[in-house]
Amino acid sequence: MSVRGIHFTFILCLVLLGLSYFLAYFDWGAWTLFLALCLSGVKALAVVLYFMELQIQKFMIQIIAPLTLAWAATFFVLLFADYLTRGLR
Amino acid sequence: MKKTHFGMWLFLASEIMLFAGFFIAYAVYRYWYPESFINASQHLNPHLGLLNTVLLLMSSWLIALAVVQTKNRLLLLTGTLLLGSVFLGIKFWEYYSKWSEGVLDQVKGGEKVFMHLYFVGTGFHAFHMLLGLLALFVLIVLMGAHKLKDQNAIVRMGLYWHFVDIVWLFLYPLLYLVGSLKL
Repeated sequence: MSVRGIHFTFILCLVLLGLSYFLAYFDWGAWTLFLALCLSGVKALAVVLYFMELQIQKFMIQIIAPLTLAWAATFFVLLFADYLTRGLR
Repeated sequence: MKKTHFGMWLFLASEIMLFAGFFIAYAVYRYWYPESFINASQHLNPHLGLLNTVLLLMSSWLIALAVVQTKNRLLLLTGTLLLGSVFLGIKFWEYYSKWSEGVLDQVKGGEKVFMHLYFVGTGFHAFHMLLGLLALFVLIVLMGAHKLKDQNAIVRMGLYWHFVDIVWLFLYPLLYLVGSLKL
């Protein structure tokens, strides 16, 4: 990873953080947290790809991150599928 | 591929599963108490949260630079250590102020749940930060004494540090930006 790429990632993260903070001053209703989490997701992706250099890692490492997220997402889906349907008959 | 790098990525994957437990608990209780979570987040200081996020991003930036360049490496790692220490200092000051205000005694129901999640989530994160700072300190001492045999240790340290940063990137909106902020 180039030094310039690292600087760019850092500035991008700061800009997105500032945007999250700025947007939080407006009432978006139920979307408030969703918007902030989406921006955090983009920041996290930038950190993983450029600071942690996932994009230039070997294939075995590159599949760990998405597989882990898929595994965690499966937990979320199964938990809420069970939880939200408990009252149904 | 370095086996130790692969091992570090696997370790971080297991850490994600560990924090996933917290995020699942948060999601369930948020579903139970949507209004209480918004009210309870007003007890937290979003400006301090923002400052801490900036500090952590800066520390991640410095350690990422330390990984890719050999010039000023010791200085960059020391900067990371200092910024991380300031982050923890602010975090503990926040704990102290919440504790001395007796916030936990003032809140009930869903708000109390939120405050407990706040202490557990950020406490767990702070514990990871503390471990990272200790490892970073040892690394700096070894580098300073020219006794660091494996230069890839810096890469692994960087991976751990960025992971801790990413966890905070999600904790910040979940705890501090739940509702809209007041001017």
